[in-house]
Amino acid sequence: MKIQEMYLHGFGDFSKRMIGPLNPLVTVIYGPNEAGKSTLLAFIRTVLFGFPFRFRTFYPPIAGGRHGGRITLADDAGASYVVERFSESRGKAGVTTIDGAPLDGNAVLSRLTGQASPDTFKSVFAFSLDDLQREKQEEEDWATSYIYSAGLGAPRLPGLRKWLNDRKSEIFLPRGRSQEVANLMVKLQNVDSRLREVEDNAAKYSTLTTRQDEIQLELEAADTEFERLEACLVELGNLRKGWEDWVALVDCEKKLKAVPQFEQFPEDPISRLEGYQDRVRQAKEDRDEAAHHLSQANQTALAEIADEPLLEDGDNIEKIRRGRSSFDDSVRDLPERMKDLETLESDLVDRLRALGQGWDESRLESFDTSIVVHNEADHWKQTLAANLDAAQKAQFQLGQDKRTLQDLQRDAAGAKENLEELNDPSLDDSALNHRRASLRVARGRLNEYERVRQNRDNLRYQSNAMVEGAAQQGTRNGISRLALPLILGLAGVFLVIVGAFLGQEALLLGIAGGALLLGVAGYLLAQGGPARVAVSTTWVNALGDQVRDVEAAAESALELLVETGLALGLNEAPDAAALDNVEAQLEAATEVLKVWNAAYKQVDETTRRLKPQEQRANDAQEEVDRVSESQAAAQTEWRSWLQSRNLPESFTPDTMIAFLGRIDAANTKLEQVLQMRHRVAAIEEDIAEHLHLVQPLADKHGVSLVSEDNSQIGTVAEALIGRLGNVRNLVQQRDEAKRQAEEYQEQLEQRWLRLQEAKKVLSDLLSGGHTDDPEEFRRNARQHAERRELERQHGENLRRLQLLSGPGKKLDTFVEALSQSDLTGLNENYDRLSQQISDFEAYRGSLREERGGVEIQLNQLTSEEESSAIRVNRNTLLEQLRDHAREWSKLTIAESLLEKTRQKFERERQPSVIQHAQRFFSTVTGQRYDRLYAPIGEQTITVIDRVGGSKQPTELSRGTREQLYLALRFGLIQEVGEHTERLPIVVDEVLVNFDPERARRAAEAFAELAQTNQVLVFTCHPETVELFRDAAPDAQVITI
Amino acid sequence: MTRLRFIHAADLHLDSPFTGLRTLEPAIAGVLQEATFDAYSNIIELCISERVDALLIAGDIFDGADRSLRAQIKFIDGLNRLSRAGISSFICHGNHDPLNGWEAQLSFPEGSHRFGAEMKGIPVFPDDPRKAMVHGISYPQREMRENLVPHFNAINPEPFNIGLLHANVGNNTDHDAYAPCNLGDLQQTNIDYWALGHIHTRQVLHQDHPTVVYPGNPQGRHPDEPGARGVYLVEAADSGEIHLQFSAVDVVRWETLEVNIGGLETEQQLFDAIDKRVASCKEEADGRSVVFRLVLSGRGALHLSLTRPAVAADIIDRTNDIWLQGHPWLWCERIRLTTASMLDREQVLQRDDFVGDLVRLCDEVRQNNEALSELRQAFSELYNHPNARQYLRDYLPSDDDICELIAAAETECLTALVEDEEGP
Repeated sequence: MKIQEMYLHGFGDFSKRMIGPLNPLVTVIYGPNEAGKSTLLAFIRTVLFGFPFRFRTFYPPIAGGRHGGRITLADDAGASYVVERFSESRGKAGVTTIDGAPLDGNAVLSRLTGQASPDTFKSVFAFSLDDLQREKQEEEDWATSYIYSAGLGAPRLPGLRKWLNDRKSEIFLPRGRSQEVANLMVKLQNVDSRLREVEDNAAKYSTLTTRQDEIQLELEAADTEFERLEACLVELGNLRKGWEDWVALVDCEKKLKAVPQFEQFPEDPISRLEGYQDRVRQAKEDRDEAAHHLSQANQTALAEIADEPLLEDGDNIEKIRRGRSSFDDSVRDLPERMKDLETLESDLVDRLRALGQGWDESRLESFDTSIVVHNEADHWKQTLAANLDAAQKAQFQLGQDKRTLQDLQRDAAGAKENLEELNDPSLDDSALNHRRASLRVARGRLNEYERVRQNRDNLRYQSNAMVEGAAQQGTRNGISRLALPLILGLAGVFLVIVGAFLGQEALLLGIAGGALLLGVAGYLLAQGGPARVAVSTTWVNALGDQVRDVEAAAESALELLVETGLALGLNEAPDAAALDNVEAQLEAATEVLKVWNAAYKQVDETTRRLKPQEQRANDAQEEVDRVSESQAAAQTEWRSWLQSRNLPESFTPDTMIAFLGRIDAANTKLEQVLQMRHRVAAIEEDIAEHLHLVQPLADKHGVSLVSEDNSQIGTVAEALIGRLGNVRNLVQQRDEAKRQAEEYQEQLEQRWLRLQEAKKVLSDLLSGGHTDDPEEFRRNARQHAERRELERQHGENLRRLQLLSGPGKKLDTFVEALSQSDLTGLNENYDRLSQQISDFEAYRGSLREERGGVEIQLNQLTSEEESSAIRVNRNTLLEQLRDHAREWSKLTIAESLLEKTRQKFERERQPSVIQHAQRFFSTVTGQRYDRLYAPIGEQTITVIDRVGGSKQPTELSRGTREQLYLALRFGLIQEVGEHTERLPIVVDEVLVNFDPERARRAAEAFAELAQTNQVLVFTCHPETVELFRDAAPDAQVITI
Repeated sequence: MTRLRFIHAADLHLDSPFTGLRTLEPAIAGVLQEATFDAYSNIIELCISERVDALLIAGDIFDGADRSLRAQIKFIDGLNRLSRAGISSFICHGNHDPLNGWEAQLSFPEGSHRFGAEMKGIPVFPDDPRKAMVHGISYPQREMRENLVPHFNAINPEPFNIGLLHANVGNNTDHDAYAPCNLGDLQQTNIDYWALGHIHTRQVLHQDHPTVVYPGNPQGRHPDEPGARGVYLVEAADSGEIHLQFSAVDVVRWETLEVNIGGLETEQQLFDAIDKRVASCKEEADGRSVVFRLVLSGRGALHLSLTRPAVAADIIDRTNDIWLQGHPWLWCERIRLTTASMLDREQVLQRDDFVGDLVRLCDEVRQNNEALSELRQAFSELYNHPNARQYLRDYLPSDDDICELIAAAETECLTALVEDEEGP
């Protein structure tokens, strides 16, 4: 089967995306990380093998489209099909021909995928680097087994076998003691043991029931006798209990006959008598007290009050009282305030004097010291200060500019003197440049002349030599040419020999050096060769012609040299020394010109800077003049401002500001003086008003006021106030006494009535006691109470006897029996009978106890549910045991079936897998490892190197181990392919840990495998792309 | 006119424990333990309320020759109640309670008749022996392999004759062949009504002349005894016509409830289906409590999740949390999984891989007696283990059992090897 193209309608980040057409052999899908390679891999698996169980969350169409897509693929016969799968149709596959004709999806897809399971495809045909990377021993074993299992079509086989074995071990082990079966058997044995014990108990039942019947008969007989004895004992007991009551009854009857009997007598007579007597005594005391109070109140109500007329002037005296404290304050403050006023007025006079002539309170009050005047003074201060500052700055700038101008003028004069001291240069720049050009031409012509002359001399020499004897000359030249190559050759050979002797790196260096020297020697020999010395006349003639031509050229060069010498001031053909001399002269002239140019430039520069500085000095002078004028105008205005306020023109703004401060201070003081004057006047007015109030009242009520001394006024006022208060208190007391007199009168009448009532009640009580004398009443009462008590005791004795005997005749019989008994005899009979009953009770108790024990045992036997519960428990345990046995049997069968099936596979297919894998592994490792060994029945793999050494996968390097697992997959792919449809191989970055050479071989192996199975390579490495391009030139590269 | 009214019961198995339970829910253990007694009490109540003339019990009153004392006492208590109500009782013993078993010294009440090892006839109405007679015989010991029907041959045909016998009529293979006989044997006697016991499923073997009836046991005791259990109320008219009326007296019922997972995709759907089935069962149980076994069957997407450890236990817990409350309760005692994955077995058989080999091997083993014997031999490690042998020797899997186990093992393997939850 080969995938031709893929259309992802909506799958992960892909939406309506066509991938393809794909190469039937090798296609490399290249893209950076997160480009969607894993999504494509999942898409292929999904369309070919279905969505997972929770398909809606499996790569949902984030970018839109229907969840799923289609793949166009071709079978090995070349027929094309379209397989599509969408989650909306519950992941069911739809298969059509390329023309759209529907087919039986499951059948066709099953054939196209070679009935491979999704796991087989995932682990053998579509794998990634992660699948090849396992490090721990446990995972190594698992991985080896897993790959085999995947080849079997059952990648979960190892896990299943392990689970089966573990589960079986949990259930049962022949020698195990903690397994589920062993635990159950222990429980069952315990239950059986307990059940046997319970069943033994049942045998006791008959014995117990027989004894139960016997006890019952004995108890019935004992109960009858016991009842008889009990009755006798009760009768004796009653006589004993009634003995004291009977004796008391007889005694009561005797006493009753001696006590008089009153038909009626007040209840509770003594306490009532005493109570009534107390009430009469208390009523008399209350009445006397009320009369006394009334007398006192009447006396107070009729008393006279001396100063009662003062009440008419009560309001005025009250007014004086309210003004007392104010008056005292005024009298006390007046001298102090007068003194304060004098001090303030003195201070004010001083301040006015300090302001100058003509200043008094009126001018001070009228002088404007408002904020406007203050602001104007501040303004003038700032204005005059600004003018002064501007004048100072302008003056400073003028000084600066003048000093700078003087410096420049001095520099310019110095530069001119310096220039005048220098000699004028003999040559200017133009002349110097011309001389230098002539000098360069002269040197060129001198060189040309020398070359031509030397050539001429050589040709002349050769011509002469050729004429003298070419043969002799040629032999000598050949020997000299052979000598150097020969020496170089010998040195090269020597180096090689020394390198071989030293070995390793020296050998390489020796070979390299020797080869180099031999090569050079060979080259020299090839270039030199045997000298050809054949001389001919033609050659001599030609050489002569050349000599002549050179001589002509030498003449011409000499002429040109002389001509150039003249331009430099030389009269004959210059030689090199003459030209060097000319060059030295040129250098000296150049230096002179350079110094003169610098001095000239200095003069020019100082002259140029002088003029602007002169302008700046003039400008500064003008600024000084302008500022001075402005300053004078401001001073004039300031003086005018002072005059307008009648102030001295000598005031500066600062003086003015200080003067205003003094004015403000004087004003403040003036204000204080005025306030104090007002206050003194107010105090004097208060004192006068108080005097006018006190004076008339003192005269009217006879209080002496001889002078208007303030302290005497106060004393008189206090006397009036005190007398008024006293009168008011006396009047209030008189009024209160009148009111109380009325109340006491009413109280006296009520208490008299209460006394009369108490006397009446006491009289009635005494009458009820058949007397009017309290003492006799008391005697009668005591006799009446004694009789009542005797009667009560008599009744109580009778009631208790009746309780013991019963009513009616029984009581009579009982009393008769008591009258004929004595207490000692009764006690003796009672004790004897009690002992008999006690003995009998013990006997009955033992029978009952035994019967209770038997009943308990019988009840336990008949009602015990333990045996039922044990048997229920036993059944559940048995059921659990059988269930475990059944599960264990099922697991045993499963284990057996899996083992037999695995053995079949290993027997029939494993050799082929190993052979295929071995070939690939040997190729990729460059024959470093040439054999794989997998013993039947053991899920292990051993690699053997070319010298026979064996290694386990854990002993291989990571890269080699990954190559081994790749090789095993290759073997499985080829093995599976021989039996069924050949499926595409999809690999994801499996070569990244291979060295370049092994990666190249692996890529070539993939290219070879692509002849049978289509190969899709996912990578994000450009070098991997190049590897597959080299290994498979037709490979298609798709960038996503 | 009615000549005789009686209750026909059998196989009380008083105080015999329920079997087939792997666990026992504490909340209902007492009910299950008392269930046989309560069912017997219901029989007594029925006799009294229906004012019948007699109660006939055809053997296996107790479970085991060494019957429990508690069972005997409760049994006598019931007979005493009948006696006080003026109702006669007739009892014979069967293989589970033969005469040579241990007995407590308990007195049977007046009007209660127990047949011995010799066949005997006892009048239902002592003052009118010609009206109705009960003829019966008890097993002297458990192993009664003799046909006892010939003992009933010489019977006076005049009264209405009832034969009380514990026997296996027609060689019912589900029960042991005690006192084996056939219907023809029964028909050759002068018995008008054969009151039989031994077969626990109620059935009327012959309707008239004679009427041959198994009432079944009054209380099911294990999963193979499902449905209503009870006794027959029999009315015999002077004309000889017999009217049978079944009356359920059981306290707890056994049921097997099957839920097919086909088409169910979520656990919630499964729960809903289970609840629906249990609710239906509750309605059908006539107010009785039910112990049920839940069988999950069919092919479906839930198969894989159901095979996971503890899932079945979780379903049981969840179901019992809902249905074990109140009265009547329904208790799921276990779940039996017969589900299969969506895998097409025929398609698997065509696969050229391990799974295909495995399924083909399963088919081969099932057909191969030698392979079956080999597997059985493998089981002996457990079944013949010195400690386990006494409990398991009777349960060594038969060939049929092994074939079932192979099918279960195959399903287990296919589920583990092929079933894919997370997809490719």
